[in-house]
Amino acid sequence: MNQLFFSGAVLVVSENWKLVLGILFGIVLGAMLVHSCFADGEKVRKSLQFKDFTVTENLILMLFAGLIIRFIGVKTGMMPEYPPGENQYLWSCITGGVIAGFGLLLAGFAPVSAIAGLGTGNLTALWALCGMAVAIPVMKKYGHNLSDLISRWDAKLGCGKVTADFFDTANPALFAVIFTGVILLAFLLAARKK
Amino acid sequence: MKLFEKITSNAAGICLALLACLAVWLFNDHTGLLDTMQAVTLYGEKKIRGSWFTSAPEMNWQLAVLIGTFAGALFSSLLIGQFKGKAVQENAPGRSGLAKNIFSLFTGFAGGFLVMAGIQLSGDSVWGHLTGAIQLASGSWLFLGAVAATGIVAAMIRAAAGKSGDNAGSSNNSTPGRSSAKRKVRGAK
Repeated sequence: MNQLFFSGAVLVVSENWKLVLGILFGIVLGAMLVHSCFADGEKVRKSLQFKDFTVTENLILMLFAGLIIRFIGVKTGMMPEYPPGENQYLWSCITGGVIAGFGLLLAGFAPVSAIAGLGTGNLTALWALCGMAVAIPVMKKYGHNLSDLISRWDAKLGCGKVTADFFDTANPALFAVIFTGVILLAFLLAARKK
Repeated sequence: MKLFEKITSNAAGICLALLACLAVWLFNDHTGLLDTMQAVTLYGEKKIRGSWFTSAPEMNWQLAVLIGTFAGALFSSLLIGQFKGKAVQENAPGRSGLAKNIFSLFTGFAGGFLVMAGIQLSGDSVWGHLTGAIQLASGSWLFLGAVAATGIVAAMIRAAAGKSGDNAGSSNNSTPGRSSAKRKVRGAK
């Protein structure tokens, strides 16, 4: 079975099956976004303003659990060691994060959570999606000016390497787990105090 | 938040982590879905401009995930009774419903524009960066940190503005009797 379905660290199936898996994956993703309150634009906006911590707590929990799951996944050969996709650059990520942060403060939705929010009947997600739809061609036409400006100071970024042992001090995942674990503990203590 | 809702919410957060890792195993890609959204939007733009020879975007797994996400959110919200037709943001300023609707439309549109501009600049969507952060991509951690820092700064500005607003309100309240009488009438209503 391993030889049939596994090629390296990625499941190998036909394109038609990928479509089916995509829909099933999306259904579960949409349901989880609703339950974790990521699809609730108001809660996302409040979490960025530190008025509500539901979304923040779930986000930190997601990172905490994800780092551990991913380490196990790489060690068992189910996930690739290095993240797939494009390269990342320093100032592009920071500038993009600041701009997106302001956008999240206003709208409360990211693209995927906006689609989930629309599924919950929240029409404010529709306005956000319209804004996103307009931004794509605008950035395509005029965004290169800002990108070119930033690229003068930009530096390519790498990613942390998975070590043999999780508790190795050279393992960046260990420090990330400690960091997110401390924040989660703070949330737990704050909740108990209430 | 009730305890059961909190446990369910936290469990969903852990499930999202599992889904992020599962996506890499299933599709060898993040769940950012930025490419598909770009393809669909640019296709729509060309159609609006009257270019009838443009081929429709490819029906790939990313588009399937988007469709599934909408369906999953719809079914889930109907099942748990969270489906609500809502078009106005909470605490939207304005006396009339129309003013609140216009405010919500404007802020939603502007917010969506800025979010997409930001993620286009950074190279991946918010969920793509969350998946990237799980895979220890340093750019994703920087992106999330920048988003959090923006929120912190905004909260500090709001707190400072709230304090200065309170001070201005107390100094302007020169006729306490009249204002308290008005408050009593409003309270009686």
